[in-house]
Amino acid sequence: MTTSAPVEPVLDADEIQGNVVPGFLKPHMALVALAIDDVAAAKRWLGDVADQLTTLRVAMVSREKVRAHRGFRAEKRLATLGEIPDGVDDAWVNLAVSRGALDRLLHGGRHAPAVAQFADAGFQHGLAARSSLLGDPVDSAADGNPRNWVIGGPDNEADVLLVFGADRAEECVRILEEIREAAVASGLRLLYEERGAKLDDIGSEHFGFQDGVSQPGVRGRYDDTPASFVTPHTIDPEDTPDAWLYGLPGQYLVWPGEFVFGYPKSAADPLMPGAINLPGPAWCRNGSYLVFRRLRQDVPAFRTFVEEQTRALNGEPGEPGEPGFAGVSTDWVGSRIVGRWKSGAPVSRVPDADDVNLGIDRYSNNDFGYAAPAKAPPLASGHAPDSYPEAPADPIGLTCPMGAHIRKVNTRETPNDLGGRRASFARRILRRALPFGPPLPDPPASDPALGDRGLLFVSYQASIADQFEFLCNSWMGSATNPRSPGGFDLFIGEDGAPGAGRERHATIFGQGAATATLTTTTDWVVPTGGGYFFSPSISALREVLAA
Amino acid sequence: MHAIPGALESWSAAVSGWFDESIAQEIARLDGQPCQYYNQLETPPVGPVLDQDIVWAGFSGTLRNRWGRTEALRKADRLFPLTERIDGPGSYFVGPQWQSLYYRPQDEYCEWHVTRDRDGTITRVTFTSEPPEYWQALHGDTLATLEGVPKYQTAGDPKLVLRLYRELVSPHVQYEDLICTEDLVDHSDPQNPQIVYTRGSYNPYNKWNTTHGIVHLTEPANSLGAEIKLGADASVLFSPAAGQAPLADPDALIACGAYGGLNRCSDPTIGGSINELAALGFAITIKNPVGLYMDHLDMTGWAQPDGTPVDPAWFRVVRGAPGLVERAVFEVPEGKGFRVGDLTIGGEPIVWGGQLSEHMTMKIIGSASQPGHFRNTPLRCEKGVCAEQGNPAFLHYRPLGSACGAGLLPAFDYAPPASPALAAETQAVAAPSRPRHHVLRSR
Repeated sequence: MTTSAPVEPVLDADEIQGNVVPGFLKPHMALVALAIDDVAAAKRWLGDVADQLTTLRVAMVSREKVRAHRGFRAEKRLATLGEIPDGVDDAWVNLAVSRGALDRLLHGGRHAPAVAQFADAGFQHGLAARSSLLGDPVDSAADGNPRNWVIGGPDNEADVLLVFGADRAEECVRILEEIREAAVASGLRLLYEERGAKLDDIGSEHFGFQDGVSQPGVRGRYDDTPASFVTPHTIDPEDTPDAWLYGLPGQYLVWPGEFVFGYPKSAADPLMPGAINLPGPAWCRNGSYLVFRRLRQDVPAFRTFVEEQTRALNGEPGEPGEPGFAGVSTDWVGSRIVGRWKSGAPVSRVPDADDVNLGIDRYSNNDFGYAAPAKAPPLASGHAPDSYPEAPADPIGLTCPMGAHIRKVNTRETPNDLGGRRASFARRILRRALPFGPPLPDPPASDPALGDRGLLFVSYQASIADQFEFLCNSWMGSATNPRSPGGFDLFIGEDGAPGAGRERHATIFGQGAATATLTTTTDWVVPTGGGYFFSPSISALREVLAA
Repeated sequence: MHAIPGALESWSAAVSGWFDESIAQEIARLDGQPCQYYNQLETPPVGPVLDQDIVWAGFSGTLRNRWGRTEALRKADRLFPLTERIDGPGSYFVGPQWQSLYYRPQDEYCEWHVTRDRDGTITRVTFTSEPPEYWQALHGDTLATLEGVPKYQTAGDPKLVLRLYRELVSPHVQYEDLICTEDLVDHSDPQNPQIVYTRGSYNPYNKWNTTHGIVHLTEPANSLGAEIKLGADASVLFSPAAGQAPLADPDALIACGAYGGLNRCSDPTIGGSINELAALGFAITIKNPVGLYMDHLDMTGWAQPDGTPVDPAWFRVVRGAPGLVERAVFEVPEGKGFRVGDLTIGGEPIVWGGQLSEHMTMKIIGSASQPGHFRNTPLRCEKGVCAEQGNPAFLHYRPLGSACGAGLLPAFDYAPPASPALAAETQAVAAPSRPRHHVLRSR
């Protein structure tokens, strides 16, 4: 019988870039994409910039301070929303390179054959070539087609991507300019530059929903002391096996090899480390794949859809609505599309109305499942279990529809089309996104951004094909998978099936298990750029790529 | 089947019989508690019925979990002799006859056959999800109980079987090719050899369904009886210890309930989905017509040589209906100037049939009624499991209370410790459980 906690590996904190684990998660970010024209000059610059990259160890120091300052319970978080703790004023940068850049940098050297060893079809082909697999428009005239992207199309693919994160905008600009100027002075060519920032203290994206609520908890320690977990273990140690399964309540702990090369990936049993995941040359250890997608969000189109569907469900004046949906609000319809209310509160726990406290309470806003009734666990901190309504079992999606965004990308403990819970663990990604462009007022008076707003989506994973692409192609972009009855992820999924006319639909439930189908052919999330990259370890950057 | 007098009725009687057998087996272990699984032919549902599509991927999770995707794709397209299992060491049947009888190692109730040009390029991929029992019934054989005892006489027509084979596979099919020319005997127990297929009966492993083509499922676990029994087993609640809540994690659940392939996509999700409904007190069955179906093939990102999308009409339903597909063919129409192997998926050339099946969605439809009607107490686990030390993603069953053998580690081991005496007595090996087989006897 399993009687002790699994031993989590010590991560190489001075080698892993900090945006991979634990993530910058700063209120300001920026991206700079560069092209390599002069390989020798680029190598010299890479060697120089390696010293400036923020590591896991550095990022972790600030992360611990922020956690201590903000806490996890709603009361403390409400009191500290948007605050930067004393002693924290960071301006960080990380770097990743494309497959094409690896080719050029390693050409003719002893590491040149290693490029082919990166066993990921997504990375090998690149985002532009894989775009149709994600469901992006194949019509070359469409905005979302790679030919029209501002970065990452067939004619403007980046070699190097710099990711910046900072607590203050001016510091973000300062470090960006400093490093960009050095890069350009070294002969790299600037292809693209864009800044992103939190729109509000709660971390909403442009459609108005809190983003990044449910991140997988990465197993691993940042030094060899027993409790130096990169993901806080918050459940009472006596409450096993839950104390070993979760970081925050409801946040499954996932073995680090799903995100960082060279560590155990998931086994069938979540308490057991899987095989070491090293799907590339030995020097890819402590590296990760980075996916960047510049996603434009058509806010008026989304709002209009939600309003129209709400009216249709309620019935136009003088006409009957859909049985079982009388009185639903736009917020209610939006919550069924996302699976959370705008604050982040899960509909599984509060099906009828938003609850801001629950939305920002990190002990509680992920503490729910779908297969069985959830019960708030005892906490290691001594905090009382929460008093929010507990989530009942919802295997059919009566409350949180199968097509809801959060249920599409994280099936939690329920079975899915690839099997059991372990199949979901192997699909998780670490999201590091922030919005770009100013928020659109509601109602919109004028729009100085001319509709160009959206999300600078960045994710880290050990397989682009099996994780990021799988989520887009096989779950968000599927009417049936991972579970039925569901429909598409109307929030950000695409329907790229040939002959389907990009139609997306999803089933939601009202009172008395009444059903309604929401249907659209409008893409309110349109890819307008991006790229696939490899985020190397610090030593691989110095000793292989820059050598 | 409609064209044969009495065939539909006898098929229905066999399917109904398998439900009854499954229910009887559950009742026997439920120790006085009611069975939540019902036979809709005999027990009309009470109140509104809620149908739930249960979906899974067509490519073998067993192969992928055991060997990784690259090797799994390679293995999936070849035939295995029935003396070689894909889910662990051992043999489905023992004896020299079985060494030259083959099955497709595709264990998600979805099988495919790849046709290639002389240069090895794929020209056609033919899919099936038809169970072998249906073809045994078309032939008019006696279908067996879940325990392998001949029982259900069917009204078939061997001429129809021959005609369909010629239509579906080749005009060169001869009737003699389709039947057993001798008794096929399993010597797993040397003291008690068992006739599995008798001389003159339909041979599910005939060459036109294996080496030369495809008509129906061949992987020994891919049977309709197995699906019906899986549904019954999954309607039972399990927990590792008294007083604990029923298991909900589908991986831990199948490890405990031992109702199917641990490493597949299908069985954990079918079992888990049904069990979720059982935990809510529903009465459960499989929607009529009871079958295993292909739902659709997702061709998003599939491209012709010029980069334009493939035509979805190249996936052609041959038997069944859209959403309830039993047989389908994917091929490029003549005259296009290129073949299936010239197409790409996300830029990757199609070189294995399994690349297509990765995008196949399979389904059965569960029906549930009377929520909250049942409040059964969970049963204790039927088995334990071990993970391979070198590949902890791959699981094997072990007898309950026994230790794992060499090279294996206990997994999902959340139950109370077994009796030390019992553990010492029964050292487990990595031997998988035997498939349930529907033994065919001569008519």
